[in-house]
Amino acid sequence: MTGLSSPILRASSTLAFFMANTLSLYLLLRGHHAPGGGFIAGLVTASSVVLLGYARGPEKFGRVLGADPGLIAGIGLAVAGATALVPILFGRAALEHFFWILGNNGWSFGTALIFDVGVFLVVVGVTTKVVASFAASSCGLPALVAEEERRYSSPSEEPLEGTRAN
Amino acid sequence: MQTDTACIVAALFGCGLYLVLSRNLVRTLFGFLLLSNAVNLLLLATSGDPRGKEAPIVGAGNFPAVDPLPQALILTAIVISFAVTAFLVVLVYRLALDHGTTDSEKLFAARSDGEENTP
Amino acid sequence: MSLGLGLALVLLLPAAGALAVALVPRRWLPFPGFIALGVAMASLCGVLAIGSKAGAHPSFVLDWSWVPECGLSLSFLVDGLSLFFAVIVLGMGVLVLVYSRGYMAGREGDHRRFYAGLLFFMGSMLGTVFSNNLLLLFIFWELTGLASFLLIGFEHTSEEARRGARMSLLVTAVTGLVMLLGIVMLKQVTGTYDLATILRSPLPQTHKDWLDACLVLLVVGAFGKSAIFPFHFWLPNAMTAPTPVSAYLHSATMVKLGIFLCARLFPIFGERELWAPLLGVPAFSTMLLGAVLALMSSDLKAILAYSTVSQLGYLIGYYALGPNGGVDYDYLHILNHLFYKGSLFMVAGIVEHAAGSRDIGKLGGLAPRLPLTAASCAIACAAMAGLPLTTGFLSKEFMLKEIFSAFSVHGYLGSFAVVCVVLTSLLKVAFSAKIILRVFFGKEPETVTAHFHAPSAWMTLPPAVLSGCALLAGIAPSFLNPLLQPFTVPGLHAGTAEHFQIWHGWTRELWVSLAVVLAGLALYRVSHYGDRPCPGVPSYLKAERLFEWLHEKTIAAGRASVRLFQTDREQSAVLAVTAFAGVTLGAFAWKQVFAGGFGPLLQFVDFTGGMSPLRLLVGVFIVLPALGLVLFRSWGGQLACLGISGFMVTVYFVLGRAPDLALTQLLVETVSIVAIYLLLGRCAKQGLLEQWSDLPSSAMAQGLRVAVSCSVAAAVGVLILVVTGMPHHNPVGNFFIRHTEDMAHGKNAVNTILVDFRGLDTLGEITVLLAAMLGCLGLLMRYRRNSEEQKQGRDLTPGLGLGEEGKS
Repeated sequence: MTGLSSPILRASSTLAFFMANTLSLYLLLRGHHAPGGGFIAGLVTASSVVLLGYARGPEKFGRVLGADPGLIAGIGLAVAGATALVPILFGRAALEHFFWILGNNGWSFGTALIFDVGVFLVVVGVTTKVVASFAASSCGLPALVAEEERRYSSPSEEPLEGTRAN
Repeated sequence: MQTDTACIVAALFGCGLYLVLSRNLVRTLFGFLLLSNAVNLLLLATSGDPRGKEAPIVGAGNFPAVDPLPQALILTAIVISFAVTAFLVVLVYRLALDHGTTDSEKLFAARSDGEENTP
Repeated sequence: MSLGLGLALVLLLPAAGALAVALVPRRWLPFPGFIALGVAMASLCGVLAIGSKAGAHPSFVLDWSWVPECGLSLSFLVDGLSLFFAVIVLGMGVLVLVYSRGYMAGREGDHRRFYAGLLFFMGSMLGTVFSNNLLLLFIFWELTGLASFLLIGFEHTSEEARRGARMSLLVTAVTGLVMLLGIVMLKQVTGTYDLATILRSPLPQTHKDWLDACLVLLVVGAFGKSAIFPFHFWLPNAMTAPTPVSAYLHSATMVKLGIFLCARLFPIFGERELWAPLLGVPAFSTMLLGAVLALMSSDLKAILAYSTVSQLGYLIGYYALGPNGGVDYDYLHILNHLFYKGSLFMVAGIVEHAAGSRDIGKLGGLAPRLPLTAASCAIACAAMAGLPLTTGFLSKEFMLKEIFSAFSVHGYLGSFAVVCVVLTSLLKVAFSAKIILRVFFGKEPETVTAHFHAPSAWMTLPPAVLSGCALLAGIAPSFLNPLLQPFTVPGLHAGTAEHFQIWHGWTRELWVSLAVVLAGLALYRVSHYGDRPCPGVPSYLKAERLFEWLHEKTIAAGRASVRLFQTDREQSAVLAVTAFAGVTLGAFAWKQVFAGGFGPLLQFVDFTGGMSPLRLLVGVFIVLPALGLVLFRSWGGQLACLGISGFMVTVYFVLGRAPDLALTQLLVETVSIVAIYLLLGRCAKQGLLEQWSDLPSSAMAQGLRVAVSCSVAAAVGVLILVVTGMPHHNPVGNFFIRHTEDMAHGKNAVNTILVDFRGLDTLGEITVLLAAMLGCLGLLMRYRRNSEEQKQGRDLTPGLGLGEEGKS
């Protein structure tokens, strides 16, 4: 299985990917004031990645984002955790947020947005990783790319599918 | 929003629980999904009757709004149930691959045999 | 250098050394043995410096705050007792580390683990003896047990070693926990964990029962650590440890912690009526029992272990019978035991190393081959038997003297003690003779000749040093007085110690000694006549069998209880949960009926008021697919139903004024359906799922299932009606709406709750997400097969009869 065969569909899936991510960015940024936020934006992005992955085929699915999605999720958790912990350094309560008013239209930037970005990254990473590994496994491929194996499993384990030369 | 939500949630709960109690693990999985939807709707019901109220987005003049707290809880619940669903699916998948069945009675019998063989 | 800094260094050095030896790769840190030795020597110098700077009879507290909320502080008490034990720990540590150089030669690969363990033990031991805070003392106390566990189980490939390690850990840790209970109770009575404060102020006279209970609990801890009956069995089983460990932990230092604790408690509890019988009866029984078992054993280390048990019994008994003013000769007894038992253990290690066995039935005639070792052993055995010109003689003279004086004070207990002490002294002579005669004299067996290789000087020198000390101090005992004098502690010691002399004249004790030595030799002659083999310890005297039985039964009971509560069938778990909920709700309803019917509850419910045609329509499209899910048989149909129901929930969220939820639900539903489709689709394609609908079940089960589902559904429906019908005037949500702009600078209250007001929940949630992802990936893994298994096609791929493989 190598994904969609029609070049038109593949091209349009790429287009859809970028459109969806523009929407996702919009949802993420406005989340504090209107429906949206890290979870929703993350799910939109993840859906677009799933779409693109479907178009490109299960072998390339896990690499659609260019990096290991699990790593992205880990970075997201680190970002959110850092936002939670940094106020402690300044003698404030954990997870206390700081805000800066931007202009006089009532909009502001706050560390809450950074926290939301962390949430966004976790949702994107986890969803992509899960669906990509499911897709690979359902096509009889190893759920993990070879170089990722050490990251997620002990030396006594190997992916369920396929016999990698060892 | 009381009576109709109550009916829907009750029906979903009934179906979900019926499925969860099935011998077939796939049906249990589907039942779990129904149950999580049911619980989300139950939580939503506690935010009160929405008629005449607005979404909890504070702006010029859109008061009164519905209670935002149940909504935040539900949002968390939806995402968590997604994670649990993914885990349950892959659990059922693995059981099916390893044992060729999703019948919990058969799986249970196989396990009991294994226990007797290896004291 | 201030005392505080010095003490901190002394305490931290072994810990730092242990970490360095354990963690730094060998490439960068060769010779872990020398590093350990250096650390021990530096710490010893530090302790001596602190001692000399502190002067005679020091008693001061160094205090660093740690967890003030629960009264735990890094508080250390420097007094004679703690300094004395610290000197013993470090001095013996130096000798043992020197000895280990020889013992561990040829096993370079294990060095780091071994020396790290020894240093870890040394550090925790120092912490224990210096602790001023009782909670801190408990922590270090358990750390020594942990170190002991690791070192006993050093040869972790041997089942025996693992068993011994497990046994010692269980016994000492459990008794340690009992001690913790006592510590907490003591704090309740005295109001502080601070040892120095408790020592200074007399106990309150009000809580007599509490204090007695405290004493019992604390003493259980001491008994567990010092292997006093009924906990005596773990020590012989700990002899699976490498010999340096046995010499260090299980004769010289760790097992003395119980004695240390009794010495600490003596000024606090010594005058209570319970003190003497509580300590004395088990202690003197242990003394006699240990000596009997030592005579029966044939394994050299077992003999030494049982004789250690016996001696520990005596030391505790000594505190038990101590006169009210204080004891005087405890340091002498401890030092004496340290000298001869440490030496004997090291000799046992040498013998095992050189002759390949430590069973005295298979040894003999080693004196010409190991002259220095034989001499060390002879002196040590003489000290153990209490022959003149050794510290053993001094120790025994004072032992007998004190016991005779206690005889008149303590009545029955006193006479019991006298009998035990005299019989034990006699037995000690017998098994001392057994050790020296059976191992070093007589005919050399051929197995020994074949195996023999000479030990290095690293091994033979330390026991010679120890035996030399026993001999030197025995010949010129007057040196000991000024040496021990600075360590005396007011309250514990009466300060009326006699001047030690080599000759006390023809006293009553001397006559008894003489008789005991003769009788002991006669006993040896009778019990080990000719080549008669040792009888060994009969199984009915092996308390470890009782322990093993208890251990097994505990595990079995745990299994049984798990089987009772945790079934493998998820249906029964669900049934149990729903049944519990049903009973609770039923009881609630019952109560309501008695409290005046359901009227008060149902008065707010408006059955028709909350209807809206649009929502009802959407509701129909939520419920109908759910019913379809129950009824359909094809998996595609079921998945479609699931999807439709989920998407209609989205619409319902929109109607409920919850745009965030609608968006989330929409997306999550999409991704979930994709995930389910991917995995179950493959299973379906390969025919792994025989059927997609329900599997046949009995009519009764089916009926139960329908009944449970329907009644739960009804209960939930009523619950919603009642809950939403209740007027709540000040929902907490109003707070968030009111303050979302001024406190969280956002307009979307749902989002501000998620990222700001309740941000910690969200942090937890995304952690769960990540964990679920790792769980999913884990389930897509399996054990790596070796190439053989791959060739055989043993594969976890479908259709290869995996069920069968799982069973075989």
